[in-house]
Amino acid sequence: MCHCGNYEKYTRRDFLQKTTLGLGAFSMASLMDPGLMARNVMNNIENAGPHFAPKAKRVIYLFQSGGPSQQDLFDYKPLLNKLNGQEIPKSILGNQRLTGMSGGQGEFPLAGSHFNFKQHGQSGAWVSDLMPFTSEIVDDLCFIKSMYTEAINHDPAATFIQTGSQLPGRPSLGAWLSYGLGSENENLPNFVVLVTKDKFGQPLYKRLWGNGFLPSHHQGVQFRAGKHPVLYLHNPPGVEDADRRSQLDVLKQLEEINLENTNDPEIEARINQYEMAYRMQTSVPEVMDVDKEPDYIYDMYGPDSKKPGTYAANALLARRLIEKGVKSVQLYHQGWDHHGNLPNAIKVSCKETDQPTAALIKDLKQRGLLEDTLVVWGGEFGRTSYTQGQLTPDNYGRDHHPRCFTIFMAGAGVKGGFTYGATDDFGYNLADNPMHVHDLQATILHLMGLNHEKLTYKHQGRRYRLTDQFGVVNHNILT
Amino acid sequence: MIEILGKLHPALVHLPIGFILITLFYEWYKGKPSVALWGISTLSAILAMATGFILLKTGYFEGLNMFLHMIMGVITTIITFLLFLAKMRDGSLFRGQNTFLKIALIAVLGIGGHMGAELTHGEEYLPLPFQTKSDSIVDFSKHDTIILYDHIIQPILKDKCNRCHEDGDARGKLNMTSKEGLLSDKFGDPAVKPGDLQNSEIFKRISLSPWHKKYMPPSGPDLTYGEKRVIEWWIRSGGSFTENVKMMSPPDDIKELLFKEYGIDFAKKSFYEKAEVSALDQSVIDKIKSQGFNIGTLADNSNFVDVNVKGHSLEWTSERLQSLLEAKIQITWLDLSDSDFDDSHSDILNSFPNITKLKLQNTNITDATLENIVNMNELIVLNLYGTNASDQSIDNILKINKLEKLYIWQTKISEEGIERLKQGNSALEVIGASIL
Repeated sequence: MCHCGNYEKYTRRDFLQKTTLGLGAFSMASLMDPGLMARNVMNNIENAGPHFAPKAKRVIYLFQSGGPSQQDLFDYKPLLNKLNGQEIPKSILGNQRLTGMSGGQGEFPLAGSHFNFKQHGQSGAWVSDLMPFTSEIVDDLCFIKSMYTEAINHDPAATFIQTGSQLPGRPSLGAWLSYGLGSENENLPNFVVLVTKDKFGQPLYKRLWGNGFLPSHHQGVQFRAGKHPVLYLHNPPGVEDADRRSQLDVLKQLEEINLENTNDPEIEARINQYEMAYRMQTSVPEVMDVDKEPDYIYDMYGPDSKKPGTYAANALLARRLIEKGVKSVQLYHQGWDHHGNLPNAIKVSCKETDQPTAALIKDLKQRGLLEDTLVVWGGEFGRTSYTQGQLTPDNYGRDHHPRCFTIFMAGAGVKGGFTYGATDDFGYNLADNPMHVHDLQATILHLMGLNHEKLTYKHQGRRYRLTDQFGVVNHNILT
Repeated sequence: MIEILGKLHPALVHLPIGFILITLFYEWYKGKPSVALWGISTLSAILAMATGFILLKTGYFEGLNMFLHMIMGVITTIITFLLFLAKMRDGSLFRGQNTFLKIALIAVLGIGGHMGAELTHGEEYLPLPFQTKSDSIVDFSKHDTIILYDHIIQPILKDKCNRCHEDGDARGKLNMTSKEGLLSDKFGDPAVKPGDLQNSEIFKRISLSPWHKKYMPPSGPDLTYGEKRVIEWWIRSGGSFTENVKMMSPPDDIKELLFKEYGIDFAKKSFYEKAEVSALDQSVIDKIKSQGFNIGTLADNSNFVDVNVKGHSLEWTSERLQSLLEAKIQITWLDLSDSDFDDSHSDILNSFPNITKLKLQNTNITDATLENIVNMNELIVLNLYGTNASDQSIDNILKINKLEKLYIWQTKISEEGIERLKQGNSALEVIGASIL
């Protein structure tokens, strides 16, 4: 017997609520409003959205894991170069929480960026020469320079920006989108995750694309590089397609008996997943078959794009998945955690990601997909303006900094060639139009046609949202 | 001092109600009256009536309901007194009217008591099944004429203030149901002084500390933060009774608030967000789905539908396409991309007047298909990438007045063609010309 508490159609709470309020009151209420009873029983309605006409139908989230240094990429702070090596003023440092890694330092010398900044495009956005390809497309990008978060370490910060809570257990953005909007292509998962292979750095846990308490078919499905993009999807040697089909049919009959007895929605999810896995046996190889992509596309995405599992190859795959109607594609690229040796290490991260990111946005645009696809680029927090460890003429490092960081978005419904918010001249505090992680989440949901306050799921007696009890849609960045 | 006696009225009224009921019950149960009980009832009724008059003198109560409550109270006292006299005379007086008087007494007592309760607890204190409760949540997302006073301010006042400040019961001599009442300065500062927040009594009262004795409303649900902000903005911006919200330019935070609480969106709206069409029957939706389409409404509050063929067959039969005709009015986004759609089926495109986004990329169409889209008056986005469209279609494309975005990557449209397009429609953005 399954003891998981969430499968009954009527919960203990429902029972108590209805009986203690008095059957009279209950029948009276349902007499006056027959919808009331139905609503109470069906707390969680799948695919209740969109709540209003969406601007974006799909989202690609390019997650730069580790926390890219905004001072070296987009947030141009000439003052840091001027004051290079000087102690950060106490008034700027304030009482902010620092990590144990640099908090014990005797001094906090400011570190100017070693990279040259130039203004690009008609919008005149500042981008450093680390990002030559991205700087070509700034007129399609919407920079948010005033992002801030609450967590100071990678895991809680990444969990926070991906699931709305620093603690594990909540559904991720992609899972919420799948729950709220449903699927467009039933032959592919609604939410696909692509992780750059052979990268090291802060670990990525599956909860970042997990379903939390939502039904499990909403979780992100990781596609891997190599022969078997989705593990265990292929038939083992000796099993023919027809065998597999009849096996699944029998299994389904058995599951349905079980479902009738227990009403456990997880059984339903399991049946659906088996069926989808069966369909994916043909649809996944098809979408992963990049051989037919012409050379000029490979040239666009850069030399890495022919090596399966690289960020470039994943970016190309993201476009192919989006073309097929997959709702959310999430890329993860580790290695942005530059505590030390930043000037050298960040070059590697940029080289791996800059060209593919720009190519993806350009490619989506020329195909008309950027029209209704939202692209989000960003990490979990920013980095400090002071150096971590020794500041030498050719080296510095930066520690975690939740107080401000830069992300950019492109595509459906967001202003192109636009910069929102600002940090102070030290790049350390928010100076203008702060945007919290929950605001970002609310805005992404808004673009997808969902009201973040209405998209709820009742679990353990209360309704949960991606934005918890917070978040305001930022209309300033919307077209 | 004497006013304190007035304040005892709401407590003292319970005495006659209790005594009179006991007296009547005693008489029915015993079969004979008790003169002493009738005497006590009369005394308590007089006491209640007297304190009631003192309370009335303070002037905080006005209006029809108040007047009727007073009349009921007086009649109750008179009838009780008459019955007391009758019982004193050993039943010789009003012998014939005895039953009638008792029934009348119960009726007047009940109605008067109920009205009193309405005055103190508000008109909705007793939820009766036949009472209709107004639905205060209004979705304005589809309206362009939203009179700030009529549609937003007045409902707030109705919900939170009119319980005590209305035609029938204008406490503090303030009637908040009308423009005249709100602007009247007969009794001190007006409730609303247009443009002058600090001297508008309504704003002063709702923004006091809730523990302040002058805080409004003194009972019942408070105004929400949003309601207070909207009232503040209304008075500040001139307190107009006729202005249309959509024509005003509120500050950003008020915009955000109006959007969140009332669905009023100040952003430019697309055709499919403004126009309304009838809802599609579920059977039609099922039928279209069974032909190999994804179909769904754009949103909860829209009957327009979005149709595409992702994950379905790439082949076309006329039967499959014909199934869309039953939704020809509702289809506003049509995506036939990456399929074998070609000119031979393209006649059907003539039938969809409300398409705003048409995606034909990576299909086998040529210029012949584009002959069939010239009547799409609402078309904003047209995607032709990866098709055989050529310069011959330029004239047809230019016939679509509202077109804003045209995707032409990997088509046969030439540089000159693009030039003609841009000259013909300066608002048109042409995307995908060889170099990006």
